[in-house]
Amino acid sequence: MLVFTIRRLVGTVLVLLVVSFITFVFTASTYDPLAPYRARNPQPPPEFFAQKTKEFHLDQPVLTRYWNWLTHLVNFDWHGWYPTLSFNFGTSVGGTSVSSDISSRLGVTTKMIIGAIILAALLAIILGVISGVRHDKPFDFAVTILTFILIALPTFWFAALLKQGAVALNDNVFHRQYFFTIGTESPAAQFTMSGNELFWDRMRHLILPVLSLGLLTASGWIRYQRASTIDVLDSDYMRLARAKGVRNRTVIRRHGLRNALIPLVTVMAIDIGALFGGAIITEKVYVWNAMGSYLNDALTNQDTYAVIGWVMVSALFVIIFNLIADLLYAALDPRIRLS
Amino acid sequence: MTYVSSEKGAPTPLGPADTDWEMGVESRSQLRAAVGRFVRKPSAMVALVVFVGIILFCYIYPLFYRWDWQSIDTRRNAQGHYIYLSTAPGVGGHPLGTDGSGFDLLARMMRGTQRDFIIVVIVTAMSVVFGVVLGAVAGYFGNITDNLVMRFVDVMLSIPALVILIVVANTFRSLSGSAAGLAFILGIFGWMGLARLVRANFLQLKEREFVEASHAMGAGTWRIIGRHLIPNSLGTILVFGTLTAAVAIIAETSLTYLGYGVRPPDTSLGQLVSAGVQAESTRWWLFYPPGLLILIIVLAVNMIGDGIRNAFDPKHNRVRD
Repeated sequence: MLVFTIRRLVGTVLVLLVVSFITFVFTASTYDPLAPYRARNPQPPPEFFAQKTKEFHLDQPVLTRYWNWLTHLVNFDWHGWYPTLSFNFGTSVGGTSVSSDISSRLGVTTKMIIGAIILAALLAIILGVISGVRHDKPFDFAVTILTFILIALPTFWFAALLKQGAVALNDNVFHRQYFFTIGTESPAAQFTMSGNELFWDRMRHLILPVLSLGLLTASGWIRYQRASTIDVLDSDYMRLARAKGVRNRTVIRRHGLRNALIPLVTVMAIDIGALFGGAIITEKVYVWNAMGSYLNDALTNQDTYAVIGWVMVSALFVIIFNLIADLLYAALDPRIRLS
Repeated sequence: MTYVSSEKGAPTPLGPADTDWEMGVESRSQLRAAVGRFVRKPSAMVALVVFVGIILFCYIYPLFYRWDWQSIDTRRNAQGHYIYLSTAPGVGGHPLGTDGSGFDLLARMMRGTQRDFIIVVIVTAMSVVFGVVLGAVAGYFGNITDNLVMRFVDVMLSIPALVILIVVANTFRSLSGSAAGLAFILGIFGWMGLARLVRANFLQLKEREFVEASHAMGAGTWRIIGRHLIPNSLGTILVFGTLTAAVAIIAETSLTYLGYGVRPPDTSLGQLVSAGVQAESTRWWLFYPPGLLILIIVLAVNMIGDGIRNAFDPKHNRVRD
């Protein structure tokens, strides 16, 4: 397994290089961050354009820019006795460091994703396994209908529906603003509130986004878990255990559950990797300033370095979590031999 | 001439060319058996009828309908004010009401469904063709070809579709706002999953005896792939096709909500729902009907996919999904 991991990591570096090259060449050759300035009336003076062109490296050819970006990408430093690795993705159009922007946005995204994943995993395991054990019974029909409907809904339509429901609850049940529909925390909350109050304010801002992202992710996972549970229940070793005389519930608990959960773990790992760059709709609906909106802003501003920084971070998460999924699958199922 | 007894007791002549009759029962091909299983599952048939019905309705009814998707209700009252803007369903001959500009909502929904249908067909066709070809090549030839194709799949998976979409939108302005352009981009990014599945299937199937037998009889590579391996993977391909269709509709709505995709004045279901999100509490008919239509269409496509998966399940005497 170690050889496999090392080979995959080397392959990862190569894939990231190719991705960075393609994205950089695509974006650097077509983007013009000075377009909004050119459209102004009256236009800024030519010295402004000259200075901005130098600042954004627009006067250099694309391949030179790529080479400069690549060589300044990784900084390896010694801080006393431990080494640190830092990434320098360049400066954005607004003048800020792309890597510090992305790391703060990543923190916000991680908050939303962790909540959504915990909710989705709980729902998938509990509802999926029960649904699989009692397939074709009323509970299974109810869960199947629910998951089919959730899978078929557009993300923002469902999120808008949730917002509507939360506002109705606020008005009729709580008579105060209990659920918040916008933002990560109340305006200037970190300066006016502290400790417990701040924590609960942030929690109440977290509920709706986690609910919408979690439910939609869970729907696919529940279907998958149900199918895998049905597969496991029908296998020979389960029939042998039942034939031995072990009670059905004990058979499921001791032998079936572990095997039924394995495929779901790999699907979860892959989906989590995709979520780090992919929750852009939920972020737009609830106006969270996280990774998705960063990409949207970067694309609107035609900012090459911000886009390439985002793509690198997002691609890294996707590839690492794919690798984790493959390793987990091999670790949990001894029959799988990694090639 | 050999004689075989049929069930009724009378001997039946069995000629040398009569290979479809064995033991007096006509043999059925795998495809016919699968179609039979699909037809006998009520949820799949209902979904198929609903889906085809909606598509036909949205293409045929506009020919008889009073309002066109581009026509604004310009009727005014005695003071000269427009009276049919943002009206509720049933008022003034509009069965689903009008939006803020006076467009009839039902006409816009039918036009939107037409655009979405074109998008779905193009995306599914492109994804299936690319996915099957690349997956077949990777799975059958193995080794270096397999490695190269899988690395290419990884690269394509890592680049976000949104980035390429914006770049294309900037360079090919005429193509970007149309349904076909959006479908093209979604199609280019939709084949990766199918390639992986087809490759996994082929890696298994090419070790089977019937492939060895075909090879021994002198069948060429492409004949084996086209006549033996692909038909045996048909279940996976069809299921993935329906899944891609469902995902394409949702992806189109998401991209339109973000601002990229089919632009006004042309409409699509994503356009309608994005515009209706702001109106959910005051003009509910702009929010719920388009969303429900998307829900019904995607639900129907998913149920059809479920039915196909059941129909092609070789162990069909096992517990079904």
